[in-house]
Amino acid sequence: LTCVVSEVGPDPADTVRIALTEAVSATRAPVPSTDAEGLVFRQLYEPLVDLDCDGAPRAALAVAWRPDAEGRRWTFSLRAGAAFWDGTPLDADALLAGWQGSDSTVVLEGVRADERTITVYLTEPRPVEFFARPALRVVKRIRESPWPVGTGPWWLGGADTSAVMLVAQPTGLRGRARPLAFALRPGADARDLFDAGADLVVTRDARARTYVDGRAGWVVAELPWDRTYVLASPALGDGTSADFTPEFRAGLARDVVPGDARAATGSGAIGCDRLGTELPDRPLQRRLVYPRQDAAARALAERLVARADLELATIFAPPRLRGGLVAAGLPQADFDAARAAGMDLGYVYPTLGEGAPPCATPLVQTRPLAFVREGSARVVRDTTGVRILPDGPWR
Amino acid sequence: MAMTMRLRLLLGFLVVVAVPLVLFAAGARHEVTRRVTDQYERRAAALAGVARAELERQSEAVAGRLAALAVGLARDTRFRLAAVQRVAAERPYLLDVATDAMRLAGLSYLQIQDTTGRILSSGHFRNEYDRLEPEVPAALARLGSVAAIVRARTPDGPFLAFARLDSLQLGTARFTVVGGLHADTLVQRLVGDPDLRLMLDLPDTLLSFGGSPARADSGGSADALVLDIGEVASVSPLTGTVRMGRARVSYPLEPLRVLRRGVDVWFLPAVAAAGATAVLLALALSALISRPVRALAEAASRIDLDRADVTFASDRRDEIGVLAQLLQTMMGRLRGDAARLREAERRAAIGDVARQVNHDVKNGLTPVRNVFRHLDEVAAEPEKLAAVYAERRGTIESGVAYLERLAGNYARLAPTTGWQPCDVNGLARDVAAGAAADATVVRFEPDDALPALRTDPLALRRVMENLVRNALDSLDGGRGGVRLATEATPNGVRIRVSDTGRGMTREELDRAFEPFYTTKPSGSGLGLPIVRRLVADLGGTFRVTSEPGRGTEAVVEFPVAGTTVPATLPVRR
Repeated sequence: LTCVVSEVGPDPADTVRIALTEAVSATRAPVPSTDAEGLVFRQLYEPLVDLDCDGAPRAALAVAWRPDAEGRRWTFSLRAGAAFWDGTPLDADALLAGWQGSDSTVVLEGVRADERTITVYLTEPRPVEFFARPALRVVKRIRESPWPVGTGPWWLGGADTSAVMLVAQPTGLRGRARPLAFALRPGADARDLFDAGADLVVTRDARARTYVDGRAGWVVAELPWDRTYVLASPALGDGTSADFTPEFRAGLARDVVPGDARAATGSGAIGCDRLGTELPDRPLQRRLVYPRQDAAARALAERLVARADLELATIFAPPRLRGGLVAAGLPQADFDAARAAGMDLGYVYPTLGEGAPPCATPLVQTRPLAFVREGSARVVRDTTGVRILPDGPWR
Repeated sequence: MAMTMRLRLLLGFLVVVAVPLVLFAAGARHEVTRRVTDQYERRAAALAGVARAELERQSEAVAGRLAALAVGLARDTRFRLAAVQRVAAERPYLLDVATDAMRLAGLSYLQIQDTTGRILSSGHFRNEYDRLEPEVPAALARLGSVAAIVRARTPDGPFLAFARLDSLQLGTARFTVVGGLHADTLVQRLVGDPDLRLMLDLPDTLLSFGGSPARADSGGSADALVLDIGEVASVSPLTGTVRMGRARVSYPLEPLRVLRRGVDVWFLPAVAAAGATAVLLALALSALISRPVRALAEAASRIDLDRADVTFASDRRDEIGVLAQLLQTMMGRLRGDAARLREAERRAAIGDVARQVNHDVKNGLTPVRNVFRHLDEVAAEPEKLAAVYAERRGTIESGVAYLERLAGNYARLAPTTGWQPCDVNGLARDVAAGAAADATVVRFEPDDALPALRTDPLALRRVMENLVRNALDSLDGGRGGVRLATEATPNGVRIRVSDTGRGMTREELDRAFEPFYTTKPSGSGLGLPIVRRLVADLGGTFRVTSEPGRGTEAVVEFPVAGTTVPATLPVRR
């Protein structure tokens, strides 16, 4: 299979060691906001349907599915013995409860037909790939732990969680599995993690690939282009556009963004129709704001500042908007608040997936790389990242 | 107001102690302040000198690092491939080479430009590449070794850098390397003193770096020492315009003021404490000296002839002790003199009383003797004898009664308060009749409208008898007469006794009231003094007028209305 990155060797270690260069927060589970959370959540929580590396739907919690003619009513046949880690059987109510607060606006209702059949009604037609979204992973929230209870092969919780190490124990429900040890090393150099004995590292650091290239024992998997960096200037109003040339975008991808990047394509609109919302009567701050922890966003913002009087001249006219323009990195929460307020000249930030949201023009797309020590574990890649499989048969 | 000895001692001590103390304090404070200021200014000058040397040294150090970087870049094959051969695969290396080189060289600002002025790599602003800015290298090339300020651009905002220039030649291509230090970093390296502030005085701008934020406002003002450390240039990154100015350092004066205040804070209380101690010492010493003197003075003030038991005992051995001993000795002598004086007074008083008794008895016996003389003259004539006896019997009885009362009074040594309504005319008539036994006739002229006088009849009789006696004596047996008259006055009673005797001179009249003064061979000299005392005791007035050769008049007046009886008559001892 082309989706398989690595197979388990003949004499694997007792634990699969995974190194993370970003922080992980249980409060956002099962929807990740970072590569590290994506890796952790992907191992713990299952959707009804998976997509393989080519985007084809594959069985996950559901082994079969059937839409109605409009695509608004989907009937899923659950796999035999589908249950949460604590043994609670999976039913339609639990399914909908776990989806609360995510994409439940689309999901209208869930009805349990029998022990293995659940029918889901949507407000609008959707393909089956819709059910592979991270937001629709099946979880059950409990009071005893910030970590939701999932249905996957590994159970994370209790004393095995700390600021430096997350240990996921095999549930024993399906297949033969070894514990997963996630070492939390925010800000660490990926090369140090290789040298420290990690079996799996996911990073966008271009230096990591240079470091691994040519070295035996490592497998590199290019993961999907899952982030699109965009420029938005909502304060400029609807109709404002940025006519970045493909060459400029290619230059950004080649020279500016560290790691694997490519030029994005899409609308040049960066202003936004604020639907009649009155902006506060105060001057715009002449700064391009980016989330501080994102190196690619910072590099892009810096480049736009450096070229403000060239590439941005037609956008930020008159020149007073460009004079003294600076790049400003804010913590994620502050960045979100600033972007919501819209009182800065522009915002550079990543969006998930390949598309760009309204009122923002895409600049570049990036993707992470997965580095797997050969023989350390069964690892496959799909549209949401890499997934570790139990060593033995599990379905 | 008279100053006390204690106050004088206190003031004197204060002058002796406080004035030198104040002078010393003022002088010492001035000297300390001057030296502190002098050292502070020398320190600032030394720091400025260090800053000047360090500025030159840092400028040369930057130049040296740029030279080394140029050499390194010339040897760097990847840089050559990227910059000269424009190999696409090496472009990321080219973009990052300035960042790495800047960090390795310890610089804050670094740009590598090609011969056209296009930025190939920027260390302080990695994504600044491709900008065309030939002005800064050109300006720096003109300035040579003069320290230049360049406004460096970063994504987070601009900063000022002290920059130098170097270049390298790769084949036919020439590259410039512009690098420098962040101005704040440079200031930190110039001197370790956080108070020092570097100022760049450019033609239309005053830039300042370093210094504590709280003192930032004092830079360049009168609150800071400003010292010039050399020439500096400012280069505009857009136009390449060069503006020449001066680099100066300012050192705040506030620490100096704090230092001075610190001196004052300790100095002034110390002087005040010394002054207070001096005052207390002065008070104690003045009290120590003046208290025994005051005690001696108080003891001396109690000295009286009746109070000779005052002592000036002291066990001190100083001058106060000597003075006390002298006073004690003097007091002993004073006690002896007082005893002798009292004895003399006692004796004098006895003699005085004896003379007065003699005088009074003689006055009382005179009318009796005259009666006996009269009887003796008619003794041979029994019929006359009986008549005369009958006529003069009252005089005898009156005189005897007078002597009896006199004796009683002297026996008590205090006259009884014999104030009673008195017939002045009757009393005067007895006196005139008693004196008329002599050849000389005493003419009695009563005023029948005389009011009743409440007085001591015995004392009044003694007054009139003494006056009549003196008048008779002034006749010296010659011709002339004596007149005894009574008159009613608007306020009382007036008694006149006048004679046509020899009279008195002014000097004699002035001395006539002195006890024991007399012009008569047998006189006691007590007549007029006794009269004056008796009249005064009775509340009347007494005056005497006299003219030599023509006679003397004595006038006694007693008030009737309002006449009061003294509670106790004055007693002359």
